[in-house]
Amino acid sequence: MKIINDQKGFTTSILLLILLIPVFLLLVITIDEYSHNVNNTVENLESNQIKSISEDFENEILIVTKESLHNITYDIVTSKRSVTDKDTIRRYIQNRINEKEIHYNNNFLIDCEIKDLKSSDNPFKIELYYLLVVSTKDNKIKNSKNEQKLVEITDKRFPVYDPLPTLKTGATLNGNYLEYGNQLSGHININNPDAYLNTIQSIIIKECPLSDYSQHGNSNETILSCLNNHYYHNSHDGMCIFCRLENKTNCNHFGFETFIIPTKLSDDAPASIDHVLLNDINNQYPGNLVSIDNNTFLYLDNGHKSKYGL
Amino acid sequence: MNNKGQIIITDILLYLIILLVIFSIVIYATVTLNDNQVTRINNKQLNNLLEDSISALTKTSGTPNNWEELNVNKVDTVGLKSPKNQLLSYDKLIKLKNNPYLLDKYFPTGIDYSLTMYSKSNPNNEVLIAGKSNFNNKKQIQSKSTVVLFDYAFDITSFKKENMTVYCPYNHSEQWICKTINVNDESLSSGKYYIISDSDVKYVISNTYSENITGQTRKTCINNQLEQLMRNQNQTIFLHILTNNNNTYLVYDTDNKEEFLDEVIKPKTYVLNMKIAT
Repeated sequence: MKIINDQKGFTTSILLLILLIPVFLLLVITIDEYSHNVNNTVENLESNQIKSISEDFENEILIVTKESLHNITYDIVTSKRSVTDKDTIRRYIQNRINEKEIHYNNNFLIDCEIKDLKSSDNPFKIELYYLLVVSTKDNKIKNSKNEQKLVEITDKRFPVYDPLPTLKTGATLNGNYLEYGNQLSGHININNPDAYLNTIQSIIIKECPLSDYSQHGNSNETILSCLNNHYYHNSHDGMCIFCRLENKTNCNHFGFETFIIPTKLSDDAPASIDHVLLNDINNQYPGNLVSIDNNTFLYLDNGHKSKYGL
Repeated sequence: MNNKGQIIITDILLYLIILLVIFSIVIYATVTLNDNQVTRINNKQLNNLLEDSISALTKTSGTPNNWEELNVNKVDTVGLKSPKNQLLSYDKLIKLKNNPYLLDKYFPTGIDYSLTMYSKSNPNNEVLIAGKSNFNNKKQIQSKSTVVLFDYAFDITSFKKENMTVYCPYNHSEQWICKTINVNDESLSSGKYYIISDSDVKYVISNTYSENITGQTRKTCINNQLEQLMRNQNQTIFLHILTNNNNTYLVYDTDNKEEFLDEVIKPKTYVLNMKIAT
């Protein structure tokens, strides 16, 4: 008598099947563990990529802001039309950022909202507020940053034009220089406006490198270098970049000023400072002659003479 | 014919042998896979720890990010990246080398580590920054290296052509590049100003009174010249360099790191290696 009746092979098949179950389970466990490792590695890589994309895009935001300010100010000085308010500039930068977002990286979602632009304590820099969110397409990994950055307006790659002279006088830009013709003298409403007839001035905003402005008067070479470069200087009375863009008359922020070099020699004439000559609320005032060399001279009031050591 | 039941016994034996073989294979496979998985998980964890540690060290600046300037008990986490750029801070590395235990809290008990560094051009001169110099009686050792460049905290001004014309007080031609620096007694006493270039360059240093000193150099400290030109407490100085397309820099060094000045012109690559063992 057979102990196991397996003439049709059922018992063997069943036994083999039972034995195959743990093998199958082991296989499933191994595959699952492997896929878990792969997922973890992918998530790590994506997380690292998101961080690096966020950093890169933040640099992009600064560049776009500088480039936008360059474009906006160039448009203003060529079209001679001011921006209505600061939000117009914010929207312009936002649109440029939106364009960058689309083309930046197809594998991730980038969303940057420019919240605000403000004048800063340093008039040659502006404060930029933005919210940057970079995430994977399935939104599993997300990096969100609410930032405030200072953006300099004196980057030589993206020169920013001073819009105030054009907006106040309607003078025409030729290259980087503004040819006032008789438009500045027409704007001046105190004695001897013709001292500024046919004045030509660079209107690219460049910060004067002298740490102490009284050093301007140390030598003719120093003041001439400042005048030739048409440098701008910190000033409580001068207007900030935003107020200049909006063609305002008053500015409560800390601003900057520059010299406007007269063309006609006399004993006194309106002071050769932009916020004096371009003022349109009857706050223009005269200055006394300050001779620098045979061809260059300025008219300055006592306050500005002392500030610049002249 | 099977009158003596031999075939039945042979059948049973065959069954048993086959069953035994299959059982053995399944048990062997289970044990081996289990062992492999445990080893793999251990390896993976060790590898993750190694990668996370070296990544935290080289990609973060630590907290607070100026921890190298603070007392060691005020250091929360250690990171070697300079906050200003993507390079590693030399000052942070030295602080860690002098206080190697700062890195201990990155690693669980029972795990030994070592952090070493060597110059790529001189791999034999390996310096131990933190951790143990050897791992005796350890079963598993994992190692990871990364190539790094150092930031020596110099304040560097590059004399490169810019796309905007700047008129200097001496009306120099376009072959010259003229920059300004603001110098005072404190900046002169707490650091050294160097002009360094990849070949000899002619230079003029002038002040706002049009007084000047000229010279020619590849590498020189100009503090003495600056002192001679100081007329105000805060003196603006014009530096005029006849560059001839050379790489020329003004370097301000506050930590007496003259030996690393050449790396401003030609940065040296180093290899940072981390090993961990269980």
